[in-house]
Amino acid sequence: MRTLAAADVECYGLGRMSGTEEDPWRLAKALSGDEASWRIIIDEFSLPIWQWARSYGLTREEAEDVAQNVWYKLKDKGSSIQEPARLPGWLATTTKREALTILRRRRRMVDTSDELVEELHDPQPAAAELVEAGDMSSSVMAAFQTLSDACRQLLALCWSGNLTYEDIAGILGKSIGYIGPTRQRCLQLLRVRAGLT
Amino acid sequence: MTANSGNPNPGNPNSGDTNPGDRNLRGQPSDDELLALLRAGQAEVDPPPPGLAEMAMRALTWDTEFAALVTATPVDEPVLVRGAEGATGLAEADVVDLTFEIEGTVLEVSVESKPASEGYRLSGLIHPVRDQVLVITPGVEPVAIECDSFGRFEAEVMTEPLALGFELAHGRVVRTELLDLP
Repeated sequence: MRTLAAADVECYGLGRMSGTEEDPWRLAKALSGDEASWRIIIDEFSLPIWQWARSYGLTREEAEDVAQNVWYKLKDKGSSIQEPARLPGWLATTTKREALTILRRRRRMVDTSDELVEELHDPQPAAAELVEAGDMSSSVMAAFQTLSDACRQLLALCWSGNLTYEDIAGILGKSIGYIGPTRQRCLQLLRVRAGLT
Repeated sequence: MTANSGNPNPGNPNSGDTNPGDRNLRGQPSDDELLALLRAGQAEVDPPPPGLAEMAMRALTWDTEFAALVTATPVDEPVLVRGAEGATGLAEADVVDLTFEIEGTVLEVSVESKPASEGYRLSGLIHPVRDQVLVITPGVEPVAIECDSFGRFEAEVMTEPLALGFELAHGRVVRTELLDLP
């Protein structure tokens, strides 16, 4: 894996203006069939939707199904989104609902014990595969895989999709006051496990 | 502010952000830099499948004939049967009951997850009585379900997402929005 320097961060979205902020009518145009607008929204949110779905422990195949359903539901129900700024939160919430539908289906298919749940959980790349000597990004990624589901889901919401704390609180069903301190605790745990303290 | 950006309001107790370029005295990355590393690292080690964007494009034009229909939305909040509040904060249910009404035609449908297998069992009632109800899934030929003389129907479906189509009294066909499945 290529080593990412901290200096690279400006390339990866911090402070980036979202497409919906650039053009508040983009969603409406997309829903009315404007391919260019739809593609811009896809370009902006494909990766976040994918990463949110994977943060629930879905396999790649399941995450693909979730992404497909999210896009169809955006096309079908997107006109109910009153403010363009609500789009990221709507997508994250719909991703969560679709992911939970799949997780519930799993539970019904297999009379799961805790061990089986752990087995079914797809941890993504094994931590050991990511550790490379002296590679900060690899050690951070390896440490990330050791965090709890709750931490990984929260951080995935924090790093992508231009979500506000209010959005994230709504998606997780928590108070806004929960988000900042929990984010801080998860990041601190990440630092410790990545050897960054 | 967004959750992956620097904190423009240091007094906000909900944010422990440091400024994106800030580092602590030992040169460690700031919180925002850590999040950016995670975002980029995840994208590199676990990229979306190559065809995902094109699949998303197809959603824009799914089944133009049916997508263009007037869409009926539930008249009430979905009723979750045997539901319980799960650890996730969302109600978990094996069955979802939905009611749609448009221009005097009422469609009630119960969607039940089949145990130990994939797929759903649909059972419902349409009033005034119609001969059939359509199961509509994007990219798949619609399937007609025959109704009995009371307007009752039943079907087992394996595909999703799905909507139901039906004919109004004057012959116009409408569909429901895509159903929220249990």
